[in-house]
Amino acid sequence: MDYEVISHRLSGYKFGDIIREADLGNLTIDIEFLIEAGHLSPLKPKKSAKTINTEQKD
Amino acid sequence: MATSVYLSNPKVTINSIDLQDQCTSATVNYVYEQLETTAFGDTARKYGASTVTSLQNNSIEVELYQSYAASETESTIFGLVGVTCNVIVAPAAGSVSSTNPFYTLTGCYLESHTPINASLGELSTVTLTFSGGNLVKTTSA
Repeated sequence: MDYEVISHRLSGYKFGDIIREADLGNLTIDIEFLIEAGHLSPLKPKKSAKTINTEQKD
Repeated sequence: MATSVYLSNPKVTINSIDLQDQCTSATVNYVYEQLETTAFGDTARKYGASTVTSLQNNSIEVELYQSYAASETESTIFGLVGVTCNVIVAPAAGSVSSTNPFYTLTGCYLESHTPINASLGELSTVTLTFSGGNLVKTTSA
């Protein structure tokens, strides 16, 4: 899962950076803690837009 | 010429969160417990030896301004009580080098925190002691 950095305090990252859990793995920190503390926000996968039927009706 | 170092712009990172701008003091204690190795025949007490490795008993103490705003002191610290984390302190906020060594305490334990420590007319502060863990000094990236 990807996460968005939503604070200016996460060491080595800027506000708005998108990171993966593996990026923080060597720091042995708990992702859940960073989310609860307001430093990271999980990125939800966007739903694909609905398709529009462009076929003409008879 | 001797140079005095005062921490005017240190790096203070707690659990990967940069709290430098809330910090007013930091102390890194690097300790190996003293084991006595005095034996019969010795005329003076001895401690340690090349073949005796004692346990590290390190700690880092920091003083922070309290802030209850989002992503600030309280939200970062409260969840760390009773668990282990990593703390990094360096003399300056720049990159690691021989003149700016990073002291990393890995797996240290925060036993207590004072979420409310307020007095009339004073800025609220918290003093935290991170105990235990393995201290490593890094001088290059």
